Amino acid sequence: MKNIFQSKNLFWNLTALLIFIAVIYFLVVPVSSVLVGSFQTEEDGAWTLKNFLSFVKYRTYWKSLANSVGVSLAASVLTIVMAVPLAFMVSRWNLKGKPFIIALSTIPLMLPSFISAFAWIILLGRAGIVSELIRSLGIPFDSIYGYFGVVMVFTVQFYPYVFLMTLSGFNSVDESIEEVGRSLGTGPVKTFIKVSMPLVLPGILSGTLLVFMTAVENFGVPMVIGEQKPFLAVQAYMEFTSDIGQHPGMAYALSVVLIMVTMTSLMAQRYYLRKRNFIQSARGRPEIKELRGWARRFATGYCFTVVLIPLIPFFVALVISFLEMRGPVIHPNFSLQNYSYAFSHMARPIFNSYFLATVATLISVVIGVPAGYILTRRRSSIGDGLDFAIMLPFTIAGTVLGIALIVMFNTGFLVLTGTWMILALSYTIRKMPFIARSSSSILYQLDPAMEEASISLGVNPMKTFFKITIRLMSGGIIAGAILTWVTTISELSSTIVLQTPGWSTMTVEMFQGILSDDMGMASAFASILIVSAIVPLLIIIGRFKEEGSSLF
Amino acid sequence: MKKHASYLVLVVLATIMVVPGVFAQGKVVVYSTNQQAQNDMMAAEFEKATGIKCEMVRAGSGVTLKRIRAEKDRPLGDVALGFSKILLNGNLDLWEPYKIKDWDVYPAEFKDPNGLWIGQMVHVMVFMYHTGLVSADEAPKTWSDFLDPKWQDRVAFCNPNNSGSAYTQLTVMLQLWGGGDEAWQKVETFLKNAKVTQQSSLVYKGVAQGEFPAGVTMEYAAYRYKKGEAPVEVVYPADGTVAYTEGAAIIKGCQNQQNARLFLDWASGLEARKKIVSEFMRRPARPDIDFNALVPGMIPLVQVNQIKDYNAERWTEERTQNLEKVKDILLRVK
Repeated sequence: MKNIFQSKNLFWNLTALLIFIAVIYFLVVPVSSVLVGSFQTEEDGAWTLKNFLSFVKYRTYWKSLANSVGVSLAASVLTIVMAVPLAFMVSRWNLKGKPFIIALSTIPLMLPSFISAFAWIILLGRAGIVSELIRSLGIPFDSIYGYFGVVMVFTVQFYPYVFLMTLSGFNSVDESIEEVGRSLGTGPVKTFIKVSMPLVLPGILSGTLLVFMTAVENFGVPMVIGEQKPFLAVQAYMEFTSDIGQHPGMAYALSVVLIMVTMTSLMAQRYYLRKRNFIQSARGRPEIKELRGWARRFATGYCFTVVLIPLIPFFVALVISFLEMRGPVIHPNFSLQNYSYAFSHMARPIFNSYFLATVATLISVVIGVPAGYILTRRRSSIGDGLDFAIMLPFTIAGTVLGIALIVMFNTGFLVLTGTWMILALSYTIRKMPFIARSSSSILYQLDPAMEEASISLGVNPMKTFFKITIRLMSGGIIAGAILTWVTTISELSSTIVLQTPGWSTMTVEMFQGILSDDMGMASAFASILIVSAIVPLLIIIGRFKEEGSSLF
Repeated sequence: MKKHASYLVLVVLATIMVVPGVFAQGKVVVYSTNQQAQNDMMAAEFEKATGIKCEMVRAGSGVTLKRIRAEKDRPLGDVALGFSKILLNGNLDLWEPYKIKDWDVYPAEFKDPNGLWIGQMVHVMVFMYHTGLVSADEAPKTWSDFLDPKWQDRVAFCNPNNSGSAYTQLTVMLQLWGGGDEAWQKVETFLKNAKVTQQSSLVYKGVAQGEFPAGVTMEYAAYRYKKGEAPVEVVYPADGTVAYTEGAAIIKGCQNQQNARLFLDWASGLEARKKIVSEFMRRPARPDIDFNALVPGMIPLVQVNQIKDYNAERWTEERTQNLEKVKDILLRVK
């Protein structure tokens, strides 16, 4: 017996050690330069508390903190309301076109938030098309600007996190547990609330955590739609990047505040999960309820509506992409000029986007899955430390992280700047949390007894992990990989700083279009990107459906 | 077959990975803050004129400057293009001196005496209004017009803490209104009336879309929308305004020194400037171009009412405290 446990420890300790070294070198060191910078003066790097004192002193910063937290919390709650019932229906009912629903649901994450913010303004701004329509019906409506608009856009943009994580959770619930509930005379609704919900809670919480963190860190939406209201991420971005009155020290300090906010939410999640036990032993695939006739059509229609509404910005972009542009001005005449420009400029950026996203996703899986295992199964200080370390870069503005990476990898024995590898590195660092989180939330549901049985039957821990655990986790891994892939494609803030000639991405091209007030070009790029991404997504989703993976 | 196909994919991938490095000779890497269409045009024209490959990397000036500083031990860019005079002067340690071919054509105010940077274009601060929402009679004529309550929530202005051009616009008002406490009172009234945006582009974009009836912006941005037939008009403030110089520099220790010089010579030359003003409405810094015919309505700089006693040094020096004051005011009135 002793022997077995020793070898189990050896394999996992070695893995943990390797992951730790990689995480410390590529992630903690660059990130800590931000932490250090927040305690230094900009002029000579002397130690100071000045930046944090200004944070305390100015009410703007407090207000922006309150705004950011408030808006992100509201969006987190709304995403649960929107995504959990959707995930349940897709998981348990025989809806038509399920792979389409799932593929469509990932698109909001692929469309950069600055594009959707502008699209919503075109519809619901003060001079918006829909706003004027509403007013012409005699309903008093001003515009989407303000807290309401930010919450709404965050909700429809980020709900896929909760949806995908919860979906894989629902698919992994052991049907016998629900059956027991029902056979004891509990109604289906009560069974759902009392039995199924608690089992998928880790997935819901992981998704919600990602929504909260993404919302707190996002600056594109509050900058455009929040208009005159201060938000923390906007402040940090501006302190760092504006061409005037730059205070990198202050930006670092604000980043540290952002990190503290998200770490608090992470701790709350871990604490909550730790108090509970979600583990189920056997795993039968839950039964699909056969709806017939109108019930089935209605449910399918509902689900498609829910996934299509968040795609409205994409449809706006699609329409604009076929309109004539005179300089920066959109004219309502049909034209292919945007596409003739886009097709002549697109080959490289589109290859770059897919290549970099795929590389970053693969590396993230290789590191993130074992990391997720360690931080769930080995609930110890190692797990805690790793969890925090992996989540750190998630909350640091990409521009800040990008500069930190240049400082670290421009000279010295490992030179990565000026090549695509620095982009892949940055993407991996920033997006690995998706894999780690989704793997760990699936593991919360799985009983370690199965792995232990395998080990006590003489299979070594490494083989057990690859032969048994990974297979059981596959739903969570794929959900995480898809999230990593689509969000890497829409990554902008660090790409802007790190891109080298020949390595610009589709998102960068779109951003340049928006910055240069060329909505037509940006829209054409957005349309090409999304249409081209749908195909591989459908193939992946369809294939895993055939294989009976727990994701679908 | 399958094996062959995967080898092919590998070869193609490897080529793509390496290609940008192979043609390291005969190229110039330009870090530009200008709009993409202008970058594309400049790269193509420069390549046509010299045969040197021109690679543009575009980002905002704050970000690009940080990048140049982070890369300073091993610069990856050769030319910095499209930076305000204030930023160029504030980072002289990053530039390599070079006096361009047409050095003598450029007035002293548009260049560094040691050739560390050269002015490219001049941005005049103007008003822009939406003709569907504001009639010609109602249109703003002076900065003081915006103090009237009728402009409450109807004029867009970028937060000066976020944009160098907006800070210049603020100092124009301060200068015009005497520069003391009374001027700050008026600025407070102005900010109370204004819709304060987080980015300067949101001002002209918003006016053109009809989100705001009027806005304070830069000449070239307003003219681009006018040329695109958006329902907008441009107003040169009658009580005075200021022009803001934007220039280029060679990055110190860059890898393609000689090509960078050729690029600056070309970009500051007559032909390039003519093309840029006629296509992108960007007023050239060199005075020997008659652009009246090229951009209808854009008056020569001598006819613009420029504030004579505009105290650029004072406003640069007081920047930090002035921005703090703006922050305080915004907190009070918003």
